[in-house]
Amino acid sequence: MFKAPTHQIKRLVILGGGTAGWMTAAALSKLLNPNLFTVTLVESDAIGTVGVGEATLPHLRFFNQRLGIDEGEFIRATNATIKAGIEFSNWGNIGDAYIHPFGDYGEPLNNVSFQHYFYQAQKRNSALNLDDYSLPVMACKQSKFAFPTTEPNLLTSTYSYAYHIDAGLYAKYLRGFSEQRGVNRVEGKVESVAMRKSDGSVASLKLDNGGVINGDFFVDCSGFRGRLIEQCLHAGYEDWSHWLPCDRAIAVQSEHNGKPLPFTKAIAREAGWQWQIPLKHRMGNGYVYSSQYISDDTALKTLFDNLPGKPSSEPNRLRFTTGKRQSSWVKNCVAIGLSSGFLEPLESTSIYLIQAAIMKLIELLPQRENLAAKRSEYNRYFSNEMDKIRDFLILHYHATQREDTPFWSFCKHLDIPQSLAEKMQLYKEIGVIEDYKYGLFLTPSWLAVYHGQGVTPAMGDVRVNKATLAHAEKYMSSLKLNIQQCVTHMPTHEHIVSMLHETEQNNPTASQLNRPANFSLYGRS
Amino acid sequence: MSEIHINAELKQIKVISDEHSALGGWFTSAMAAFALRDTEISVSHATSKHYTLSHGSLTLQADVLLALQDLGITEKVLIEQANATPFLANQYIGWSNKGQSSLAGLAKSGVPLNGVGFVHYLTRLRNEKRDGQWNLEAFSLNTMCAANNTFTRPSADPRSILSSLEYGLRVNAKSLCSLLKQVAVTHGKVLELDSSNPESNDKASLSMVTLDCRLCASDDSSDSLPIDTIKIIEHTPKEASLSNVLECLDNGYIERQYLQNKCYSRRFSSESFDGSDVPIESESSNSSRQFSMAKLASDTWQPDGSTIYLFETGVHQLLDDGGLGYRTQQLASLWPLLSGARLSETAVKYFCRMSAQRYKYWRDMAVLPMYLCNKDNTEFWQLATSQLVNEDLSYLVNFYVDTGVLPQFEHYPADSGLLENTLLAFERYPQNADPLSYIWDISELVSRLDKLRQLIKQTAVQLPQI
Repeated sequence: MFKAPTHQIKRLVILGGGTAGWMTAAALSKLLNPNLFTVTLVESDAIGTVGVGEATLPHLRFFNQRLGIDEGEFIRATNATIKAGIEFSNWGNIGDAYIHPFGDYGEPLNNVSFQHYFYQAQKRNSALNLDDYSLPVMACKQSKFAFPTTEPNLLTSTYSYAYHIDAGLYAKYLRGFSEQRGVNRVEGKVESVAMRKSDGSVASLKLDNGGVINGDFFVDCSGFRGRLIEQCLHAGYEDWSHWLPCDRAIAVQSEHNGKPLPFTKAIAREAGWQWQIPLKHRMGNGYVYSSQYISDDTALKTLFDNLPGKPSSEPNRLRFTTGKRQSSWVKNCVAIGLSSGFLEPLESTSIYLIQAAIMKLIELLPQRENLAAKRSEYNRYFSNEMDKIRDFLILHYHATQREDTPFWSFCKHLDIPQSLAEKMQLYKEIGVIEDYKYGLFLTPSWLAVYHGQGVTPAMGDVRVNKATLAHAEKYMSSLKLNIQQCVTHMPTHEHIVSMLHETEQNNPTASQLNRPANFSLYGRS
Repeated sequence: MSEIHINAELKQIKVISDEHSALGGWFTSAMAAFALRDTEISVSHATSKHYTLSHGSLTLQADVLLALQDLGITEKVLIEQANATPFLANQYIGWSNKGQSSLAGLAKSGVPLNGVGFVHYLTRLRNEKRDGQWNLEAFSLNTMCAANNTFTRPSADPRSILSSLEYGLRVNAKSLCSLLKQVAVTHGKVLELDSSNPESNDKASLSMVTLDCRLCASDDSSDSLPIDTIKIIEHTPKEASLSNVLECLDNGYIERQYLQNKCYSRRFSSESFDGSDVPIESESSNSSRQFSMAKLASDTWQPDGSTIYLFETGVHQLLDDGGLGYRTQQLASLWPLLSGARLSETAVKYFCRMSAQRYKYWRDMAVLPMYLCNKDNTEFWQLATSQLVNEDLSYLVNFYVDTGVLPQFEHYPADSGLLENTLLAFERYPQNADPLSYIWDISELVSRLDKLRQLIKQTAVQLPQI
């Protein structure tokens, strides 16, 4: 018979049943011993979920694998398609387009980063295109896809993939998963919250139906309002809207306009940007904009004028303030999802941030004795994660040549954070991309956006010269050819998607699913 | 497209070292000559013909061994020409008032189970069984092999227990210095300047950047070490050992590194404190030398861009690899920045910022045993502990003891087995096990861990003696 240590936190309560809530419930119920812990999730059918965040990052595969979720079953349950990158249109200049892939561009030669050779080679041959040296970019351009391999020496291991999913269906799937593993779902709206007088922590939730949910530890997945983290624990909010001025979004579903693409589209508009996310059965669409530069009605009209197919749902309007909670974890409550902060879905970071928070919470699940220490480390980690993503998002807006509207003019002349200013300056001067170990977007991502939006270095690495460049050019020619051949042999994304949604018995792609995933945006690490 | 160009002005890298920093100087020259071998940039090295190394031998781990391999100094070369001997663990003797001994292996100990770190299961077992006999040493093939003096090369098959073994190499420092010199010279453009006043050469040249590797002269007044003197003795050991031995003294400590038929002992002490007059080695000592420890500072790049200070510091002297791991990292990040020499203030600022962060890690590793020392029955150790207080290291150790998790620091390696093993060798076991480690009944956990312990022990015993 199990005996829990007396100091153990045993009763875990999750408030909110959207994507964040059910992902948290699924992870806790899978990984904790049910004889020692109880997991209760409180949600109300009367409160809707935000329902965006349909585009994911490759880390979701790692998360699902940790939970033992079969990939094929997940794809079918969420009407998923494959996502190998994001296409950004009109960001650097009107008419521009580039893909931010989940993979590498070339590889370093003699310890010199690939971009240094590329830019020197391009001086000699202006027809060279960086896209030609990335397998996922070239595959995306031709709407092709093949599952990456795991052998580190093969070109086909140089990329990863994620999914476009129906987030509502994912939450529903995880609800079934969690309830099977003992999560107690309680229907009800929180009427009041009882706090412990001894230490000011959360003691219980009183529901509108009279029920009282007692807990030792609470996870606030209540969305923007932060029912526990802000309204009860007053965590505070760091407002980043002076750097990321978009504050509204309209989301609407539409019919497909044709074959599903293996990438998300982010199309810059007059005062923000529009997303297009191809699911199996429909498109997810939205317009993220700044209310300072465009009216709600004009934004709605812009979105509807640019839908890829007939609208199939009522528009869902969202208001937000970009930023983060000053502390995501206060006392005995951690905020996960929108309650912990909001970054616009430009790089599909919403679900990633949920799962990164869950994985860190699991790593740092507290006992009474070390709750303060783990809380402090969690907050340090999550704050760092948010700051780095923030800088990368600001880069998209700031690295523009556009001044055709007041919004873009504002972005171009933005006073950006010092951390980003130094990174950009280093790249512009000598082509060095400041890398870091802990953070989501690493060198290939920064290169994709810099290059895609016309930011090029003034100087190259001193180790690139006539002799080394000649060697590099041979490598580049061979790589380009290999990529072309690889893409030629890939099936179309449409074909892959149709196979993936066949029943398990008839699915010829089944053997390629459930390959070990990294907690990384890219392929081989 | 914007015009891109190379820093055409840069024609020469001049490395300067002095009689106390020849190893760092030749390592830097060799790395520079190799990195810039296909360019028009020449590398010269101004150094003293007569030098004193702060190490008799060096313990090199994968980071340095890979860099040396790039230079053509392979494991085979090191065995044949630098008396290379495998290294598996550090043995700590007498670092508490009780005077016990413990081993910290180079490789990560145990195996993660269900995605949860091994130490959490061990902590749970220790807490529930109240049995200190369940210690990490028994779950490391490195330490078990070190204890039994057995060795083999690791297996590449992740299913084999032999894949959990990692080894470093201990090499003769002087021999390595000669090998590095050969590399630097044979890569074509290295000019060895024999100058007692190296600064006089071409200082004003706009086409030259100086990498100054001399002994640190500037001083970070916020940082100091409790020890000030190093004494090195070379002698013939009674038997070989796969461990380095670090023995605590009343006023410092001794580090012994064993090579083929040689042992180099280094005694670190403070002149201000009397220690028990323990002879470093009693048998057949054949040479010794003593010198003062260098000052402490992180590397910096002079604002005008002409000189990059890659100091030889007390940290380099304390580290068992002579600071070559530190230098490898510094140089790898310096080469891409060279195009900014004299042209980019941003590159200079970036290098200085990164160096300061990186220095903190290596400084922490250099003082780790002294910081963790549990001995407080001498005046020296009472003072040393308070002098070594460091924000990151204190946070890391306290957090680990509270939680069993190493915090993520950008400048620390992501997965350092030796660091965790050292903490546990100094009895810094976590107080609480991860709640995820309660997935099994305690009897099942005992059974699983006991099987693993037996497997490691049997494997270690059956391997060949060195």
